[in-house]
Formats: sequence, structure tokens, C-alpha cells
Amino acid sequence: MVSEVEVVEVSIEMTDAAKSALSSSMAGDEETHVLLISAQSGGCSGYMYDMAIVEAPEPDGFQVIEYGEIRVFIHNKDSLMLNGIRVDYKDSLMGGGFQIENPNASKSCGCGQSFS
Amino acid sequence: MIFMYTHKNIQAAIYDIRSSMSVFSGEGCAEHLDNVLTSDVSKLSDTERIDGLVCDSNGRVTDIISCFGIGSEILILGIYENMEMTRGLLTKGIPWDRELLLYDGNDALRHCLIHGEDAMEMLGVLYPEISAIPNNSFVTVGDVIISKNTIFGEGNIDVIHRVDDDSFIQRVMSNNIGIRTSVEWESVRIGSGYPSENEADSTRLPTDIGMGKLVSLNKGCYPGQEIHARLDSRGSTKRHMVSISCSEPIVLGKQKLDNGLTVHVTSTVELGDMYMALAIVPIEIEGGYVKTASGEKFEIM
Repeated sequence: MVSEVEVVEVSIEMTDAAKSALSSSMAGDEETHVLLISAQSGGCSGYMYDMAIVEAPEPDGFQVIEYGEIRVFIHNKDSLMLNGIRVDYKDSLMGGGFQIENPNASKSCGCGQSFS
Repeated sequence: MIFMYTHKNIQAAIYDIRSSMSVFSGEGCAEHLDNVLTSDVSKLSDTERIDGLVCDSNGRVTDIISCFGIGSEILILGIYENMEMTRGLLTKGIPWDRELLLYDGNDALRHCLIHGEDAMEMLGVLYPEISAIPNNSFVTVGDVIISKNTIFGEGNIDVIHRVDDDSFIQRVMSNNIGIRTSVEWESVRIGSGYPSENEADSTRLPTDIGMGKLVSLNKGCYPGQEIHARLDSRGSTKRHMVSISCSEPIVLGKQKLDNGLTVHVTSTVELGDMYMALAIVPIEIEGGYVKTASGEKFEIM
């Protein structure tokens, strides 16, 4: 096999606006569901973010960050790329929604979903 | 033909090519590879071959690769010197819920190229049982993979075999055909205008190095896609790659011409009493002779 991916302890920042938007999106499902943030090859800049509210997966291989009742899951495979991200939410008709700022990214795509 | 030698008047030769070789395995590996490639490999099927580029977010070429569908796995050939970057891009961004594995095949596989205007005739000498090779595909004889090289175009046939399988070598030897070294290939590559690591060095656009044909503008996002789409919509290619020759040693790097234009020499080789090079030049330089500001006369081939 070519290489194993480096694993680091993840720390992320979630703004109050993002926490509030997540609470409304989860609508009482916080016990069974989690926010899963991941990254994969692709997009215009090399890697793409993905955020989804999913049924809590088996925690093996994940790092779990808790904000009150909200749990954020990040897989060890993505820890190096996602460590230090700031998740925000912008309530705007144009370009609104969840946004990720990544201090490790040297470049981001115009749509905000891709980074390198 | 400058470098050809003959086998029964066949204008072709076999070269040892130093390529990176990786095997990508696991459910969804084609879709994952598709995320980083300029061509659409999302539906790469068994015995299909698709070539493409790996680019950075600025649209500059970082590798030129060939993908061979072998069952549920993909054999990936690339430029040896650029291997780490491509492998890193593939392995770092594997989705958390997929078990995709990338294996190093460099010690297990060998890449040779039959090059020359009679490449198919030479293949016929080696493998009389092969009557044709379909485009964008490959044939196998035992474990040997044989395919038309669509990156370099006509007159180039890739042969990939396992290092521990000498059936190809036996056929070469029994026909008294030698295999030329990768150093000898470098001369042919430069004379033929084929790009390698000096050209795919993260500073050149696909069209700069003659690889615009490997960019699909309708497949969706991949690293560099925004830049390629913008360049296409503007419709102007400013530079292209040419082979040049000179009676004096050719210096690598940027050189001013006496007409004010600039050429960028990327690869050079000495051939007896002459020197050859690959250079990225303004599109208006197409043939004939140009003179550098310091007096060297380059023939554009």
C-alpha cells in the first residue's frame, strides 16, 4: 500500500449562528443524529468539503466534538485537512447557508466548497 | 526519423520507460479517480484505457496519466518523478466511508514503449497473434498488457508486463530486437515533442504542452477546471511546445529572441554534433529558424 494518512487531534470552531442553524436543522434529533463533516479529493481546488446530518455512525475511527447536545463527527482520515476549520452560517438569500473557513487551505474555490 | 534503427527494415524500436505504476483498488475507485482527473474516468470499464491529466488548482499540469481498467481495479501509469504528488492527492482525499487502497506497482511492473512509424509491424513480429488493438482499450497476452499510447499518438504502443514474467523479453530476444534504455528514450522523446516531468512541472497549462486533447470541459469539477473553462471561453492559446535543434549547446530556462519574444527551454539533449531541446514558445513561432538575443540560431522542428 502506498501510504497511511496522518491523524491529528481535531479542533474546530463553530459560530453561534452555525450552532443555532444546526439546532433548527436537527429539530430534536440530537440524540440519534450527528453533524458529519468530511473532505475528499475533487472540486476545482483539489479537495471538497461535505457536511451532512446523518444517523450517528459507529464511533470507531471518528473524533467527536460536542457543542451542548449537538455532536460533530470528523473521521480520522480527514483530521489533518479539517483541523482548525471554522464553521459559520450566513442567513442570506444569495450565497447563504453553512460556510467553512479553513486556515490550512492555501486556496479556495469561488463556491466555497473546494479547497487546496 | 532521426533515432530509428531497423529490424528487418521495420522503422521502430522498443524503449524502457521509467513510469510510476500504481494499482487503485476498492469499490468506487473509478469515481474517486474521476474527481481529480481532467478526463471522465467515472465509468472506466474492464479492458478500457483512458488517459488524462492531473492539474493543480491553478490549472497547471502536475502529471500525465493513463488508466487501465483491469477487472474492478485500475492500473495507473504516470510520470515517475511526479508520482508522490499524484498519489498524495488520491490517498489524502479518500472518503471516510470507502475502503480504497492504492498499491505501489513500481517494483512489480515494467513499462516499455514500441515507438516508430512501424510500431504496429514490430508488434506483429513480437505478437503475431494480435491482429489489431482497439482504440482506448488494451489487449492482454498472458499477463502482458498491450495498448496504443494515446498520449503520444500514432506510432506508440505501450507494453506493460510483470517483472517476474519474462514472456515479453523472451519474444524480444528470440527476434533479436534489443530494448533501448530510458536514457536513450529521453533523446527520442525530446526529438518527437513528447512532454514529461520537465514539462508537466506545475507551471504549464495543458495547451502549453500539447495536452489540451486530454481535457474534458463537460465532465464537471476537477482541480483546475475553472481555469481551463475560462481559457476555453476566451478561445486563445498563447503558447505551444516545439522541438528545437541547434549546433550549439542549448541552455535550459527562459531565453530572449532577437525579435523580442521569449522561449522557455524545458528539456535538452546532446546528439553527436547537434543539440536538441523541447521549448514552450509563443504560438506565432511555428517553424523555420529563430535567433536568440545572444546569437544562437534555433531550428524549430
